[in-house]
Amino acid sequence: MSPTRSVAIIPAYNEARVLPGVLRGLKECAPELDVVVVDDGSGDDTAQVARQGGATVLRHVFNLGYGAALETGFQYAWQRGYEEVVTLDADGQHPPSEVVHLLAALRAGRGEVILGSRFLGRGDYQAPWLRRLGIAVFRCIGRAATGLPLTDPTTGFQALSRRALRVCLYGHWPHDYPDVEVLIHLHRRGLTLTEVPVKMLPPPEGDVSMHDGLMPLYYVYKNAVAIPLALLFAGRPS
Amino acid sequence: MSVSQSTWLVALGGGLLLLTLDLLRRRRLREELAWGWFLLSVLLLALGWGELPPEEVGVALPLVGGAAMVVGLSLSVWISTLSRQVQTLTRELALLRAQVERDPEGGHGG
Repeated sequence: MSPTRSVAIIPAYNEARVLPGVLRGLKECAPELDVVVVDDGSGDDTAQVARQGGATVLRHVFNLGYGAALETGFQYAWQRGYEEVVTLDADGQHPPSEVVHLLAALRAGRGEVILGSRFLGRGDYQAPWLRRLGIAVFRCIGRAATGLPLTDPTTGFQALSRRALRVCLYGHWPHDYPDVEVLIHLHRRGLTLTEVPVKMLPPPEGDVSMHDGLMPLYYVYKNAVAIPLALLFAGRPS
Repeated sequence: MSVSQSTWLVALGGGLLLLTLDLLRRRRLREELAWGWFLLSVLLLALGWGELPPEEVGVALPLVGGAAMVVGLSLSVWISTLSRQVQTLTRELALLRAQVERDPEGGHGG
């Protein structure tokens, strides 16, 4: 039996409350997608609700980080022969109804990495001011590094071709925040990166995010180290 | 070097040596990772007992600092390697578990 062409990969950490809605939305809006939830060492019933929602569950015994969870999902997608991969968050910020826009752009050949941008006119997403400032800084860095008119370089709402999947798996993939440095690596390896407008929603109230607490400080430090290294050592475009 | 400075260095070196030995005894520290701490404690003890003239203390202290840096860096590299190995193992376990759950009879799932 040949595998389905497309898969949605959802890294999840303690999202048992919101995940069922995301899975229902995917079933309604993109029924052709297989769904894989990567449970990154959750302490709640994330894995169980994911199974109940019809998803394949890959469960980490420890919490490794968002990037590591994505990589596990990528590894699964590669091994199963999937040709199209969509990544979205488990906390409901990425409406399943918007997945069709990412896949349409991928199938139309507009790029091998489709980035869903919340700043291209769809929806009225308003991040907190500090987050907006951070995104603006990384937007400038991403544009300068790639020469592309990026508007949302930190988006986790993406669609990738199989070739892009291979590059993600056999190049450098960060275990924590796969943002601008990954875009630099992908661009330097000759992949076409294209943004499409998508709607995004604010995170649910009471949800603990990977950007809470002191993590923004670590995020800034990490990118201050990783981005220059990517600029210096990432492969050159073909 | 003054008597109090020598005393502090001997106390520090001796304390570090005793702590390292105790951690080894309780299997909290592996022998292959203890070398750096032995080295540092011996250097500190030698500096404290050595009664070096002041001009040589200025040379010896940076050497001790450099040794501490080497130890710290080697441990960081070791921990990073272990972290990558844990990630790989965790990922392989997740993929294997999903395969088993998909095909509990133990056949070669397709």
